[in-house]
Amino acid sequence: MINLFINGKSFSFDGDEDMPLLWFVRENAELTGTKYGCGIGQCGACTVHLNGTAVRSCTVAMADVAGAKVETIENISSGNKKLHFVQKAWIAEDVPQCGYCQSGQIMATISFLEEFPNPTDDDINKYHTNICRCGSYDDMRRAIHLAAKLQAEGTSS
Amino acid sequence: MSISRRSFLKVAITTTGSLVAYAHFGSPTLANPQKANPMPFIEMAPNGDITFISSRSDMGQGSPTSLAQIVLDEMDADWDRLVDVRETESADRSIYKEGLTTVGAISTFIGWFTHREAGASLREGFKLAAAGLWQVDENRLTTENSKVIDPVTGQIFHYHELFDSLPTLYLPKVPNFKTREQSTLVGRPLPQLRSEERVTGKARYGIDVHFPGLKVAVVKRCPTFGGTVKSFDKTDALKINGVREVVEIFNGVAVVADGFWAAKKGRDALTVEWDHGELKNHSSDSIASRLKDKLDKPDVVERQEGDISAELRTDTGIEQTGNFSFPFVAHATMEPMNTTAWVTDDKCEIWSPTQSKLDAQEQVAKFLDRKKEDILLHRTLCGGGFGRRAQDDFVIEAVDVSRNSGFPVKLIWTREDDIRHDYYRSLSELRIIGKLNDEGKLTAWDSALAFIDTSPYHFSPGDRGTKDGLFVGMAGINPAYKIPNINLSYGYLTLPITVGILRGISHGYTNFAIEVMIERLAKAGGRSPLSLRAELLAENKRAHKVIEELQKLNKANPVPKGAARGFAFAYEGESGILYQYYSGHMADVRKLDDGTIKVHKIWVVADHGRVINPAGFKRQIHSSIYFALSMMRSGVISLKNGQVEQGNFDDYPVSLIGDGAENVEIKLIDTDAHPMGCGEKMQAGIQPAIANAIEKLTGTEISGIPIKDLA
Ligand code: FES
Ligand code: FES
Repeated sequence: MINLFINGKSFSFDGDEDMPLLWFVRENAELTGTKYGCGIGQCGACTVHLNGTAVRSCTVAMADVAGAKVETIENISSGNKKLHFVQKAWIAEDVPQCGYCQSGQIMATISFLEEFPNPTDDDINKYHTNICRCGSYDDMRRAIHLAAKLQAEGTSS
Repeated sequence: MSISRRSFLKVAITTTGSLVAYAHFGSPTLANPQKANPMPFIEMAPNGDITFISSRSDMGQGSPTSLAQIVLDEMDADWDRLVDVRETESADRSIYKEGLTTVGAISTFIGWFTHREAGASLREGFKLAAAGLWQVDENRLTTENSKVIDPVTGQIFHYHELFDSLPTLYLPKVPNFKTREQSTLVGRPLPQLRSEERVTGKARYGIDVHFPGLKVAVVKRCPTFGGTVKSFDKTDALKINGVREVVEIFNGVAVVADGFWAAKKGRDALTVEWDHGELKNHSSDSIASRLKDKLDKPDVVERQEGDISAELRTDTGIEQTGNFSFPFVAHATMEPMNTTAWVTDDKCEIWSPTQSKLDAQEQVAKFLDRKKEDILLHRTLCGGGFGRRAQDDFVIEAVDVSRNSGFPVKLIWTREDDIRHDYYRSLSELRIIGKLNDEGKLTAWDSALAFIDTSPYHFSPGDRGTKDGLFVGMAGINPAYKIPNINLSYGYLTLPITVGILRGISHGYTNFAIEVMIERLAKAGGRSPLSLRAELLAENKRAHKVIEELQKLNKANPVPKGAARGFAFAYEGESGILYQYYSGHMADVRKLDDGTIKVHKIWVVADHGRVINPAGFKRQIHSSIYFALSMMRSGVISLKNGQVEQGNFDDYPVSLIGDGAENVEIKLIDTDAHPMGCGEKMQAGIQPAIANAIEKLTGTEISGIPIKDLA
C-alpha cells in the first residue's frame, strides 16, 4: 500500500507499482489538469511538483512516491479566484493557444523561476524544455520574464 | 455561398430565465420558417452575462474569439459581459447548412456571413422590443454595450430587461451591418477567450472526459499500413490486473480496462497475428521512386496554356530545372487522438476532440447502421488540431470498442499510436522547369507533381473517392504568376497509407517548390527576386500590393553582415471569388558558431482581408514559424517494411522555445476584403522564404525538407 499526498489530501494506492504517477493523478485523484503528451519524459505536459520540485510525472513510478507530497496545477492558486503569479503572467501575455501543454508549462516555470529568479533568454532556452506544439513560445517567453518580475515584487500571494 | 436577404430571429427563454438567441438564414421562400432549426449563437443570462455558443472547434487557433467578436460587435453587446464559451450541440445539418468542420480559413470566412447577420438581427430585435415598450419609432433608437437607448427621452433598456418582449422576428431585410468606423470589437486585439480555464487546469479536453463506470481502451493496430488481424490470443492480456475485456474492432484489437495503464499493459501482453498486406515490402524510398516515375507519366493534366514544348525547345534564355522531395509529415497534436463513446442498444453518445462535427456524427450513424438522430456527439476542446482531427477514424474506433465490449469507453491513443497511425501529409515529388527569356521575362513553367492518392481518405466523406478528394494532394500547384506557356500535371499512387490535410493542405510542398524555383530563376537571370514577382503579379492588385510592401521592408532593412536573405509569396483564390488571401515573406538566416543555420529574422506581410483580431492573427504567425521550423528541421516520417519508423518526440522532435526565429516582424494589410483566418495559411510562405535564404547563404540547392543543419 502506498500512501501519498496530492494537493494536501491523502491518498492510498495498492495497484501496480510500475504505474506512472501521471495516471494516478489523472484517473484516481481525478485531477485532469495534468496532461499526457508522450509518456516518455519528452514533452513536459505531465509536469507536477514532487516534494516541491517539478518532475515529469509520466516518468515517476508509484513505487517511488510513497509518502511524497505532490502538487498539481489545480492547487497552485491560493484559494478561489486568486491566481498564482505565473498564471497571472500567462494571462497577461495571452499565452495559451490550445492550452493543452500549459499546465505543464506553468508548473515547470514555477520551479524554473525558483532556480533562476532573473532568467536570461539563454537560461530559458536551455532549461525551459516543455513542448508547446501550438508554438506559443514567443508569448510564453514574455510571460516567463513577466512572472520573474512579479515574483521579485512578491505578488505571489 | 448564397445568403438569404431576409433574416429570421428566434429566441427561447430557458428554465433558468436565460435567453438563447437563434438566427436562421433560410431561403426566403421557406414555407414554414418556424419549423426550420435555427442556429444558436449566444445565450444571455437574466443578469446580462453572455455565453458565446461556438459553432467551430476550438483547438487554439483563435477563431471562437474572432467569431464572438463578430457577433457581439454587430449586436452592440458589452464584451466585458462575455463570460463563457460553449460548444454548439447542434446535430442537424439544416441548422448551419454545413457540417461545421473546422478546416482551412473557413471559420472566419463563413462566420463573416453568419455571425454578422445573427448579431445584427439580434440588435434589431432588441430595438424593436424597446420601441414597442416605449411606443416610439424604433428608427430613433440607438444601441451600445448591451443597451437600447432613446436619445430623445434619455431612457435606457438593458438587453436583459427585454427578454420577455423580444418577439420572434421576421426582419423584412437583413439589418444593415456596421461600417468599419462603427465597429467597436472587430479589428480590436482582444485577448483569447477561455484563457483562465487553460492556465488553471480546468479546461476539459477530450482526454479529460470522465464519468462513473467509464473504462479506458487502447487499441493494437497493424503496424503495417493496410494490414489486418489474422488471429489474436487474449489470454495474457486478460491476466493483467484491471483489464476487463479484449475485443476485436474493425481495424485491430482493443483492450478495455479500468484505467490507461492497465489497458496499455494489457495491450503489451496481447498477441496478434497480422496479415501485413501489400505494403509489407515497401519503404518510403521505394514509394518515392515510384512517385518519381509518375512525374513523366502524370494521371491528370491540370492546366495547359501556350506551347510549353516549343518554348522549352528554343535555345535562347535561361532554363532551370528543380527537383524536390518531401517526406511524410505527422501532425503530432499535443493531445493525442482520443474519443469517449457509449453505445447501447438504442443510444450512442460520443465526446470527442474533433475538428469535424456533423460529418463524424453521420459517419458513426452509417457505421452503426442507425439513424443519425440517434447519435449524440459532444465536441470537446481540442489539444491542437492542424487538420488531423478533421478525420473520423478515432471517433469510429471508440464507437466500435464500446459497441463490442458493452462498456462506455474512453479510447486513448498513445503518442506512438498517434505518430504511427496519422493521416500524414503525403510524401511528394515535384519537378519544375522554368525559363526566362533573354529579356528576363518568365516565359515557361512546366511543373509535375506526384503524391499518394488522398482521395480515399478525404476528411469529408462526400469527397472520398472523387476527383475533389485529390485536392488535398495537389492544392497550390497553380502559381498566381502570369506565365504565357504553362503546363501543370500531377500523378498519384493509390496505396493503403492514410494521408490527409496538415496545416495548409499541400501548399506546404507545392508552394515551397514554386517559390524556390522563382527565386532561383531570378538569380540565374540576374533579376531581383521581388521585382520579378511584382512583374508577374502586376494584374492582381492585392498580390502586387503585398510584394510592394515587401519591397519597402527589404529596402528599409539592409541584410546584416554574414546573413543571407530569401523571399516568398503565398496565396489562395483568384480575383472574382471571396476566398482569397495573399502573403509575402522575407527571411534572414545566419551561421552560428557551431555551424548550424539560425533564422535571424522573418518578416510577414499579409493581406487576408479585414482583420478581425490583429493580436490573434499575429499570434498565429508567430506560432506558425515554430511549426514551420519543426517541419523543416526534423518533420520526417519514414517507412520501412510498410511501417512507420518514428514513434515519439524523441525521434520525431518538434521545436522547443529556443528553436524559433530570433526576430519576427509582421505587417497586416487590413483591407475591406472578405476576412480569412490564417492559422493554417502561413506554412506555404514561411518555409520557402527560409529555404531561399539558406540556399543563398550556403550556395547549395535546397531540394525539399528536411534541411540539414537548421538550428
Ligand atoms: S507526458 Fe510526461 S513528459 Fe510527456
Ligand atoms: S498551447 Fe497548444 S500545445 Fe501549447
